[in-house]
Amino acid sequence: MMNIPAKGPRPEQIDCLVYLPDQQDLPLLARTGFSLYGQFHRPLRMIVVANAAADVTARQVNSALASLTALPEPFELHVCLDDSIEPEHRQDNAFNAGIMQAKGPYIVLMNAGELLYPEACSRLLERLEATGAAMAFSAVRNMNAIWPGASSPCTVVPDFDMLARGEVRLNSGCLINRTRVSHGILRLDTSLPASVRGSDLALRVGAAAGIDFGASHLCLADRYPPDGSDAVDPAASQTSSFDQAAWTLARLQADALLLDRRMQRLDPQYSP
Amino acid sequence: MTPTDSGLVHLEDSVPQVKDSPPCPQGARERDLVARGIAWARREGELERARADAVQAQLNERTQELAFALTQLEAIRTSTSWRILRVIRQALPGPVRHAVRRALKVAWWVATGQLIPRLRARRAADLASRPQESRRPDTEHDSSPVFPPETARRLEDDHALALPFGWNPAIEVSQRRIAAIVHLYYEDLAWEFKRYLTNVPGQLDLFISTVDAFRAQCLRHAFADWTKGTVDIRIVPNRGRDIAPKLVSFADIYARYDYVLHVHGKRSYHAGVLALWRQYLLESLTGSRAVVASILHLFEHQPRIGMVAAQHYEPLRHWIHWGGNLPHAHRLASCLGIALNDEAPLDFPSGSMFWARSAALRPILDLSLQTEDFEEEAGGKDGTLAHAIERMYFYVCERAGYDWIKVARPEYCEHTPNLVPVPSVGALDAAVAQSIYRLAHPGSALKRPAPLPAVGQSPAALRTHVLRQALGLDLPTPRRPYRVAVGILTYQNTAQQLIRATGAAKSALQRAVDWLHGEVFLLDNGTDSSDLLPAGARLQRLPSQGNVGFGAGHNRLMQDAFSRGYDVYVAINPDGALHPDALAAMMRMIAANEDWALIEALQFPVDHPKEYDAVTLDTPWVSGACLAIPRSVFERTGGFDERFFMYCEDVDLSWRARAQGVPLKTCATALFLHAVTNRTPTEAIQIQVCQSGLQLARKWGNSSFEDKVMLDLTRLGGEIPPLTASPRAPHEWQRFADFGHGFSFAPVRW
Repeated sequence: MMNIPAKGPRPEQIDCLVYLPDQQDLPLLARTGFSLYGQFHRPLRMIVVANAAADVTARQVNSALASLTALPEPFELHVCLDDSIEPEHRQDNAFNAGIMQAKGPYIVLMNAGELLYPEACSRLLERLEATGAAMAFSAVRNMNAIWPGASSPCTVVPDFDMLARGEVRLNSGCLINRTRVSHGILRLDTSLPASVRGSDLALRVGAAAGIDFGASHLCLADRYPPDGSDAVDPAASQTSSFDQAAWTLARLQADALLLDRRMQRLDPQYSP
Repeated sequence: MTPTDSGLVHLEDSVPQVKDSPPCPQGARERDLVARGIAWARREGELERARADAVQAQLNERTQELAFALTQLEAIRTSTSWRILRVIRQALPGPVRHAVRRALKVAWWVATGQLIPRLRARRAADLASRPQESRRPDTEHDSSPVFPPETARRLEDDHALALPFGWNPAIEVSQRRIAAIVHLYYEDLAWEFKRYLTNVPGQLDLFISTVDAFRAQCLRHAFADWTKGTVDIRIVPNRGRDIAPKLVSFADIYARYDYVLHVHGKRSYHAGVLALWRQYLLESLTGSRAVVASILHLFEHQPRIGMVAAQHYEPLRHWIHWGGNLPHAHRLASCLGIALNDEAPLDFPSGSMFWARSAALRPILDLSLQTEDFEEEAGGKDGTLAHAIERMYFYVCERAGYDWIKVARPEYCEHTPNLVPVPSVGALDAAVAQSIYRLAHPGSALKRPAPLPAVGQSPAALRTHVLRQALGLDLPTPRRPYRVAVGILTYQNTAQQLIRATGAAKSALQRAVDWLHGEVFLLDNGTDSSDLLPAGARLQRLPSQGNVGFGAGHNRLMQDAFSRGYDVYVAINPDGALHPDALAAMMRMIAANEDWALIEALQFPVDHPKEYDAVTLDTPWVSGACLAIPRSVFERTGGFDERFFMYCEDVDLSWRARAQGVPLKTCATALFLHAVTNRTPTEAIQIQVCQSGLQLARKWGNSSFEDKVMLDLTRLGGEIPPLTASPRAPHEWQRFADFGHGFSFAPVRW
């Protein structure tokens, strides 16, 4: 079942889902908002997704971004508060809730504080339109300090090998065409370890409609470690052996699902 | 499983292919392959599950080991022998207990004849346990640091008065004559010192030394409006660091003053962690009126106090020792008639900044030292007469018959105990008595048993304070808002760009009405842009004179704006947009620098890679993409050099400004959206950049950069501009130019 929006999306609208973990991060959210304001692409909607535990109200979010939405040619702002209470899945539950609220055909997942370069949405959209894939990745810079200027970036270039190792992150530098995949696929699986959920989603979206790494040579976003740590080395954020084992299981399950679907196409009597 | 040429990857390609399959009809063969794939995937899945189980089992094993270790520990703690020995443990302090145990052990080894084998075994074990890089190689080329014997007091014996005092000492200083003796090798620090020195209540005469006429001229300009007293600026030989200028060049002034403040423009490049040492000392001695009033109250009401210095800066305190300065110190001590006890714990005003009664310095002044007595400046860090005098200041004070005392701001001391608060006037005597220590009579004070662990970071509160100060966040609202002109120079821009740039600028102009108000000024360097902007857009539009170049265009806009009475001009590129809060942030920073600074906004989302100091926000040059220029700086510098048609004119302006004592700052809270990422410069732009670079190199007299750029220009097929007789930057200015980092003109962060 394709996720065709029910009503009113403007053509090629991009919905940028920005996760706000905590009220304290409103200044970071404003930075992200300014980077979205700077996008060449319009129409653009910023959907701020937050968990009830973030102790933030829609009014506070609107107030923090009011000066940006008053600028010429602003983005549209929407706030989506998720009230699930599982502490270890707050971010992904919030993203899943936000995905359900998205109206445009394209979505981007980001964390507050992360920045998209002005050309990011346009460039990634060009890739999706050119290749017909459901997901396009660019390179991102991992930064170790937001404030002020003491950062030493490390550029991460995603590719299929990273995906196969379960090291692909969805936040920033990735655009998803949600019309090409079903609701069931386009959600983060909270039964998996948090470190591999992004890769799992990418794998499932890729299985359904393909992934494009053709813009990987371009750096289009700056990403900050959500825990404020200084980890810029991808090796430092490698998953534990337990997570890796879980990831391999998820990957194999995705393979099996893919193959089951092909079998069903070949043999309607086939039962997995 | 490889991407296609377009970079597209389909995961179906990842299905394992089974080779040598028997011939069969197409559908059956595919079914067979897929069925095998499923079987393979499920089998791999089982294997992975088994691996995950194994990891889990290992985790369980480690948990059990930990539980066992905890049980053993608890058993020891509850054992009879441990309880019996508790009395001894409590009765004897740690070091004594260890010493007794060690002595008993050695005695046992001697008695049983196993001393030598035991010592050998210990040494071998000790060597083996040291990390490879920390072992000292037994060669004559050993370069590992050797710390001198520890000479500082134990932390528990080292007291300092907490400042400011708990009441507001309404000090009556009008009868006292106070002088600040300031050595400023780095003339650009003049504004910072001026700000701190205004915290001294009452009259304050300034005696400032520097090392050449050019610096002296900058200092005269900086202190031209000093109204609290006289200003005497002297040029002194660059010898004897700050000590010779203060004690030799200004030896004649001490007799005229009751109290003197010794400070200097210290920059500690040799260790990054010491970067805020100067600010720490200035904050401790002159950080606020209350701090200075407390110190002066101390002098007034404690007549035995001759010198007040800051407690040691924490990142430095493990270096408090004689270093290589003991021979000099012994010679000096014999001249001063001091019996130097180099076995006693040492203390001194590290950084050689302090307040003193003039009389407390008399012994060293009476030596009539000459500049020639000090070593030639060789950039060395230690082992000079100046360093020895720094370590002897407290001895000198005691020799003059006074006591010395240390003070500290508790918020800037994260790892320093014994900061004695003085909550009331009545508590002062006791607090002073507790904090006094005499080098000549050390009493029971002990040296540290071992060097203190290094403190690897400047105090967080100090970093925050300096940053807030740099950003002007602690400033009150100005008496009247700044009148700001935002200047946009267009060149063939799109309607979208201009609507954004002007709209965002207007928004920023209306954002903080207490701080600023103003207008947008616009000049077309290219085609007429009036049709691109909505009708009724309120702008000050200057008539175009064709493409006169970046610098000339902005100069026209600036002249017009300043002639209309604007205070600050902010040049912005038309392909960018100001954050609504950016102008207010820039005005705060201008106010923090008393309208005497060039302030660039932070380019966003990717800032310029050239470095800037993360705390003071100093930067080697400022970009013209979004640059605030106060009227005073425009009047002093004349704006951009119009001989640069495009590119490098901002670098040239920055260097000229620095040479005239104008601080350059990056306003890290002012964001300027600038769409330059992933933009490949055209050949025409590269040629233009090279031509401007060539001009810059010629103007600032750097022939090697000139040669390099000429080569690049030739390679690009660009025209080499002819040599002209245009004026060059003065020789004294050339130290501000940096051609060592190519077209970055500064060290870069990435």
